[in-house]
Amino acid sequence: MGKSSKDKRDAYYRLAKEQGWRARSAFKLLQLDEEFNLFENVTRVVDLCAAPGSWSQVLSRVLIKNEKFGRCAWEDREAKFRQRMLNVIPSESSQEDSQQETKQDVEMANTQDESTSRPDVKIVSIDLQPISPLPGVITLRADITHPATVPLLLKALDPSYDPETSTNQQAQQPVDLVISDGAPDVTGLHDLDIYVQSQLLFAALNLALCVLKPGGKFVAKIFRGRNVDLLYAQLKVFFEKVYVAKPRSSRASSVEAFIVCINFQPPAGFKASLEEPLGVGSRLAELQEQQQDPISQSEPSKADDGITEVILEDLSGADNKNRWIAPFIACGDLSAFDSDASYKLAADHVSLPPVQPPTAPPYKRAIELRRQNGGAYGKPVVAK
Amino acid sequence: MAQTSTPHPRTQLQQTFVLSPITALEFYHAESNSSYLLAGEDTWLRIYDPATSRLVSQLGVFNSRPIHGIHAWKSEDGTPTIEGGILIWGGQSVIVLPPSSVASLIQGTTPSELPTEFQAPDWIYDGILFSSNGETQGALVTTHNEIVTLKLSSEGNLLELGPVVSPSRPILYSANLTFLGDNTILIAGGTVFGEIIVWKFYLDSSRPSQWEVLYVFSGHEGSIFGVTISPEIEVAPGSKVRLLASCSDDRTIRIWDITDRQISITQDGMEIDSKTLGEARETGFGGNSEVKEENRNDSTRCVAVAMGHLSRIWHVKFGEYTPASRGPINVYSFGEDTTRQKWELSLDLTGSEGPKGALKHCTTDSCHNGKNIWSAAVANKEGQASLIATGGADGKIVISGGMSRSGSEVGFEDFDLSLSFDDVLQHIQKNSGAPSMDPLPMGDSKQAFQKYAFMSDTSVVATTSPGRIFVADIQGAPTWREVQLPAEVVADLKSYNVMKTVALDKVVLGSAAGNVYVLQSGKPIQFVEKLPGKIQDILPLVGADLENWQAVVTVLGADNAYILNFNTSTNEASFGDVTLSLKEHYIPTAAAQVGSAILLGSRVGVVTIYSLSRDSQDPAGSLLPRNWSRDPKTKDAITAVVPLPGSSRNFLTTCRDGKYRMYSIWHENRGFDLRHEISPPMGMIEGAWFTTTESPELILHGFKGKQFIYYNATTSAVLASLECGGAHRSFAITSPLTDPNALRLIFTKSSHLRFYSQSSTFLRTIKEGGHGREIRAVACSSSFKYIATAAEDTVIRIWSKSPTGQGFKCLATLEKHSSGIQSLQWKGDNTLVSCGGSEELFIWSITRLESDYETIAVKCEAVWNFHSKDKDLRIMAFEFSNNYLGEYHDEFVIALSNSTIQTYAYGERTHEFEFGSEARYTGACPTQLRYMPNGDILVAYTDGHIAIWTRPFLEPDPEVTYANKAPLEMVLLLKVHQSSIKSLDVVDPEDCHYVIATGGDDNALIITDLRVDDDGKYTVCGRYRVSSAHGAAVTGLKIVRDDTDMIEVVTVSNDQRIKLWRAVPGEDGQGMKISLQDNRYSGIADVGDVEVIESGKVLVGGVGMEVWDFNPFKWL
Repeated sequence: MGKSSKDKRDAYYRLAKEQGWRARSAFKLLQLDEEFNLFENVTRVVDLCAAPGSWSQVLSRVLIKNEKFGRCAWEDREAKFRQRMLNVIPSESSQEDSQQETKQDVEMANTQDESTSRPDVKIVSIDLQPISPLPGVITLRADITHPATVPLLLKALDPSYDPETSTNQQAQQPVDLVISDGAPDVTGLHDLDIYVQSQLLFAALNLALCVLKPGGKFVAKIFRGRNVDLLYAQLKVFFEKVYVAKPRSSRASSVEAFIVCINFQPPAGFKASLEEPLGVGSRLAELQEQQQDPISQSEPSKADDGITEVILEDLSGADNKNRWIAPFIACGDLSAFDSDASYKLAADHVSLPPVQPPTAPPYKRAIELRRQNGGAYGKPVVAK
Repeated sequence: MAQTSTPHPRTQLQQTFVLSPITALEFYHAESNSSYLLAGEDTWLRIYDPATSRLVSQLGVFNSRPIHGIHAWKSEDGTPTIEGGILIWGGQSVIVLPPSSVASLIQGTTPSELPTEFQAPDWIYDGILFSSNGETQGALVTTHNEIVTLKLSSEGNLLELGPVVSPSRPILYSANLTFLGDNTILIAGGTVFGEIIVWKFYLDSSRPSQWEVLYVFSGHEGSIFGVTISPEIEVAPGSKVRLLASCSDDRTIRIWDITDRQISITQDGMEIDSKTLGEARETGFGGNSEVKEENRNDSTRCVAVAMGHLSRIWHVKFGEYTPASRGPINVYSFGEDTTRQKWELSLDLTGSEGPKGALKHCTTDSCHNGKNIWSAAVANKEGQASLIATGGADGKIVISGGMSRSGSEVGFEDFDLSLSFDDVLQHIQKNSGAPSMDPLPMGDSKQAFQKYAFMSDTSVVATTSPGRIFVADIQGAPTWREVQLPAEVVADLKSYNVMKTVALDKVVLGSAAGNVYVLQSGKPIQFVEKLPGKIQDILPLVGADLENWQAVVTVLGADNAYILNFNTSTNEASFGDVTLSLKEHYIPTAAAQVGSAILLGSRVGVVTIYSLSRDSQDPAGSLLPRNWSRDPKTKDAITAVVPLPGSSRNFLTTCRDGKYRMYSIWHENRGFDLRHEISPPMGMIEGAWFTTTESPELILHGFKGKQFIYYNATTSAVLASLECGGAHRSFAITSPLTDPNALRLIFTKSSHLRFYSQSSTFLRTIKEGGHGREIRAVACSSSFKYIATAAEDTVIRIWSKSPTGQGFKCLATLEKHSSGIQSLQWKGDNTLVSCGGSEELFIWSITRLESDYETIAVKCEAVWNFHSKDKDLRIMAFEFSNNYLGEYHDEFVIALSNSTIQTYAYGERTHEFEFGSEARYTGACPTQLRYMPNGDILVAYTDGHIAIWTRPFLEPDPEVTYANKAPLEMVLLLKVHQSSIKSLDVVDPEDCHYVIATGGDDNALIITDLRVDDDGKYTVCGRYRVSSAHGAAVTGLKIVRDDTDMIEVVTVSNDQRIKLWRAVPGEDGQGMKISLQDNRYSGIADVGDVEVIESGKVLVGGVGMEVWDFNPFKWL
């Protein structure tokens, strides 16, 4: 498969290279932001499992450099045209839209507003793997599951923090937003992969609980698989609103989605600590027991789209204790490129090299050795 | 329970069959000294008898989670014993089956009471039961490197879980526990970041610290997927070592020395204290001084490193080792590439820095379909080869070694000999009394073996370059003798000869001078006749009368082939007057008689048919070919022609192009049709036969690379695989037709004669599996006769329901797709269409051939070939119908990943497609496509919309191949989901009233109620949404009931729930009431499709297969 072929198969791979992003996942965060206004009034952010750094790159460009990214950054103009033609966008709203768009067209896909300086912005990125430097971002190499990472993070957020004297694992100067795009090496044993991913999510949550200020937001990657409804219910203990969001740049064929938790409201008397983390043991279950009101399943639907929401009668008798399904929100406008579709490239299309080579996999050496030995099945033998 | 007032009782779901990955395996040794294999299959514990493959009993262990591990009580040297119970865990759940329950399971009865399930605080990776201070206890190790102790009652029931203890809490990918005695447990944990932590846990809670970290190894470069602690191994008198084996994402296997040697370790500063572990470390990715210190540790403690698998390695285990012999220690590894590999670890104990060693690769055995060996068990008994079981993602269990082989009634021995010419000469001279022929000289390097032929199962003949003939009689081991030959025959056979077995105890030889001889045991060689030229080959006429056998003898450059007949009454062979006329340069390589036809296969892949009726002879009495056929893609030799058992018109050919084919002969032998074409996993097929067992099985042999492969095509099992140096060598093979697992094979390898015999197959299948990757599509043929499944492994499998009513029998595997398959659809019971990536759409013909061989014939009948320039689009979905284009044409509608749908006419007889028209959507990718009941085309897209496209002209016109070139028009567009539509079904409960049900990536189920008028204009009566129908994407959906007053829908999702919904029109026909009738745990992860396979039954396909019955609730 040539490079161009990946450009065709994966519109966001191509766009990422064209727009200077380290990885296509940058669009996932941008599209999440478009839907949830994640960066609104945000100055202090922690990015976990950040390597190769595309989410930190978004933070750096949006919060430090003050760049703005409209939907033009990922809009398929041809799709928009065809949507009008096929009436996918209803005519009234399309008029509105076109007015908006004229404005946006002027703004272009991304603009930079140098006038507003943001001196108070603080971004800390953590990963075990190295992250190439980014303007205004403090990068730490540490294991987010390790208790010793908390003082490192607190120190980075607040240089006056002294781990020797402080007994508290709670940040004095908390942050507005914690994000994590971390995923394990998936094995294919779905059960295990889902569990390990949930443990990464809990690791991120445990750190977030130490540094997030009340009212803050938490965004993390989640695998929507077996028992994900248990996980949603657990997150709901700490946040007023919990959504599961799927950006258009995330493939529909992937189990990946993003949990967007809004308005951090720690339960009364709750103290975060990585020594006593959530996600294992019974602490979280106890917190759920204490919760007064059971979470109601029906949340008002996203928009009045003419579809009747059914009041469901559940006759199954299945046990739904501690289960709750977070409302689903698709992010990214309908005219966004479709990550599952194949696109035709212009005849003069030049496939760009990636902005940053992908992180070397652990089996890189194995591949090199095999190549030296003449391919996967040993040295080719010349037939007699 | 009280009766409700609803007229329709609730509909319930009940699981009646599951084929799922084998996620746990363990051996159990019962009192009778027989071994049992315990397997974890989804929530089920299944117990098999490895000697007979019989399922002894099964027990549903957990309610809604798969079993991930099983531990049977083991004695201190690691051998499983009968003393204790069985520990079973899955996720955080754990139970202990007490000895009494195990005993009843072994007896085949289900214990009356299921033990209490406990919840560990975290996911469990390993567990053990042991006896300490006379009490039965247990321990678990979890994902965060924590130990949890188990307290058991004296009857062996689990009472409670102890507190959690851990020295540090990294996330692990693997862990292993060993009880050391003396209240101590040894733990090895492999982390996600490539480290291995080895620590001790002391049961005595009064100690100041209950744990002690021994080592932290950081040599691996990726996640550690498997760790195993060895028992103490005596490597020299009085000297014992304990080893740790590990395997990783970095594709290496490493062996570490973890022997407890107190001396000198502390001086090296290798002991890791708690402070070191407590500090933040740049785990696994190197850099500071601390890591260097650990590396120093690694280099002295790492005994050996090896690389072998093509992809990730999931498990590594220690195999047999005989202390008395001080030979190498066997190590086995199991990988994502479905192979298990055997390694020999040799240790060098002379160095001062502890043992050093090397891992030597021995064998690679491919055991499973698709990807991943998820579970493996190794049981070692002194003096026997390890008993090894593997379980795959394909749900198959394979076992080898260890036990006295039981199967062979025919009494084939197990041996593997390699003999030089001189070895055989020596043998003959020792055995024969007074030789009547001059002994051949020893040490003459020009003397070589030439051809081999089995006279019988216990006697094999070898011709030699000096023209002499040797025979080996096999009773226990081969004994060699020489056949007494007249001097002129020796001279005639010298340098060149051909030899073939044509019937039991009948071997025919031919010479360069054209002489033909018959050799029978206990008789002098019979000279038959001299033919006019060098004898090229002798082809037994397969399928001819066995008593009065015949063979086709070919002569170099001759226009005719000769038929050799054997007369039982005279016990002599002679050539008849009938010959077979050959085309110019036609070199026959195989022959068979099928009914009244003779078939010849040629060196370039041509099959020719002759009729034995008189009217096809030329004046000279030579039979003229009636017809011939050749696969245009092959120029390789036909190696065998075999009639199908019990059939007078169907036959099979094998070919060096790696395929076997089946044909049906036309009326009066005028020709024949290709019906079946399959590539088994062999490079060149050299021959085939059918067993004479009650249901015949097809057995093939041939070469793949340097291996000789002996293969059961009916069960898709490799029965033997031997390194022989490659194709193009003399060989002979025999196997009892009643037991294909037994085999004798003789061949030449580097001027030696190699003689191999097996009583039974090395790898035995305990349980058949299915796809080795996620199933993406399921389709049932129209009379429910066949079920087709297609998976990410690019394979399509055709199944029939097993006659017992439980489960399925795989009839065929179709391997032609090169990338993931998206959709499958049947037309009747005999045509299957499949589509997928790389713009592949294939039409398969599936028929049953009249024969005693129970199989179906499959061939790819047509290939859609309107490819784009780069051939890189995916065909996402299609439908076809013969309602619109007249009698001989089907209309095909195809949805492509570039947002287009296209229509084609497909000629049923021409097997060709003709393009009709194309319609492009916005750019969004189509996901589903269906005909509406009125012939319009319904398409679902990734942007959550459904569209209905119509064709203005639908008048069938038989005169025109494809009348409908008119453009497609969109007549309805509706937004139903927020994002991709993953599943769709449509029904018409009444005329002009359509109901569309869709399942989305947005977790929602939507029911759309439509009316259409006579002009084809649609009215949307309502769209009804169940927002959080599932916790994850709704990937499969089927409307299973469509009455005017209710529809019922089955949905499946990645959340592993199967749900049944009922939608009933609201009061006064306004709105819709939807109720959830049932909601059950499904064992199928990453579910791809659901399909009705008969009334009241659905099949769910994903990671495995499940059958659910849906029935009205029965009041008890």
